[in-house]
Amino acid sequence: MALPPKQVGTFIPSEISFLAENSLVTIIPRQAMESIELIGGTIPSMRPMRRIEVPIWVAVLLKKQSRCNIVPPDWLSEENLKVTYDAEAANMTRFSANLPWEWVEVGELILGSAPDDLSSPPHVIRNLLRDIREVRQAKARAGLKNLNDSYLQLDNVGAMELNEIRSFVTMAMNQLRIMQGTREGPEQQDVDVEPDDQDDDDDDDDLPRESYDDSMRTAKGYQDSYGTARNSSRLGSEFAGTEDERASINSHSFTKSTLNRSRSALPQAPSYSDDNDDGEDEDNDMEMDETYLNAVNGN
Amino acid sequence: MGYLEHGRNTSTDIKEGARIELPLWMAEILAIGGISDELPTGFITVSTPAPFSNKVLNALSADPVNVDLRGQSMHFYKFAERWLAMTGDDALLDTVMNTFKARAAVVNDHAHNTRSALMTDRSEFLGTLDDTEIKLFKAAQEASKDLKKWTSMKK
Repeated sequence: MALPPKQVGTFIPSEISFLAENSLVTIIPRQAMESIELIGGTIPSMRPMRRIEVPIWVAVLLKKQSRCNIVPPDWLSEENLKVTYDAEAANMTRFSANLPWEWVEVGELILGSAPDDLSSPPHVIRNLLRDIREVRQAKARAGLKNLNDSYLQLDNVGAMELNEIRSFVTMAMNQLRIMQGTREGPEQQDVDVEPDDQDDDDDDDDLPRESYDDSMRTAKGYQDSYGTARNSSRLGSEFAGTEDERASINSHSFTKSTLNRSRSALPQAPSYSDDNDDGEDEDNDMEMDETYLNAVNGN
Repeated sequence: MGYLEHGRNTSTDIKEGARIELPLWMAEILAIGGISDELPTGFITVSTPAPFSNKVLNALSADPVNVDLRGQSMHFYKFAERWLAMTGDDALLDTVMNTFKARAAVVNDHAHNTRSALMTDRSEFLGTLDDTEIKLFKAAQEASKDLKKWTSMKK
């Protein structure tokens, strides 16, 4: 593969930022413009002072040409960031849900391209963002102490933050999984009877039974907690033997599978503050992941 | 077969009951390979390798971070994998996994904090990492470096 090894398993920050540019932001155009049909979606027609939602990359482009003002998303206001910061600082075991998935990238993009459109001085916002990031980094760091071989739960973590720990976590968990696979305890045998087990017929016979069971347990756990995303969990358990890093369900909760998300999956205009909608996109990602993961990890 | 022993005379054979050090792959083959009806024990009996001796394991369960894993074995975890696959010693597995978890967290701290990693007491720790941990360290450090580069580029 022509990619440098480290980029095979993870994204680089500029790629994450690029992906985030597809999320929507509200702008106030200053000029009229016809709507544009693009493969990735339609840019609505613009009339001066009429608010519309466009992908960030369009907004940044128009802003550069002084053809629009960007309306910063609600969470990027000084008050909301302060609230978020307090919430983050108050609870050291959870990430607060006030921030969207691409908050780091979108924050940087808007601060970089439209500092004059913010409601507060840019340096205030920037400092708040940095404070929040540091608090959250500390939490992620604390969370890594609890690594295990089957899953890691990081609700509400952002794309960039996830990317930062992705390579470390996947490597560490993989190593733990391999070691766990050598275990020969009878207690590992108890989970392998699953009532609705149809897709058990696949190619993981050559793998240690134990690790397979473990991952079944993981996949099953996710089914239980996210009934709506049943399909993607099934997908996960089908490949569980080869990859127990499986089963990402919605964009705000992760197991190793999300950590391993493939480079090829480009979200289709993920909507902004709406957490639940992303479920379907994630399913697409998963499907692309299968081939990719098998290629990478099929030793 | 005397040449199997390092630095010994190559002409004489190894006597029964002698203790020698063999590569793991060879020990594995010899230990299982010769088993048959008339020879139920195989050619050799494998004793616990030094990195997994009780002394080391006690030290590891007492304080994983301060043990020189590299001094025990360059490939401590990979070695452990193979050894555990052979022996299936769950107590050892628990110790090794706990060691890995505890050390991985520290490795991560160091990787995200490069400047202090150069300070003497820290670089001391980094010198004790085994191969797997070094890979982990590099991965985490790369990620942190890339992110810093991206952040500073934006400003």
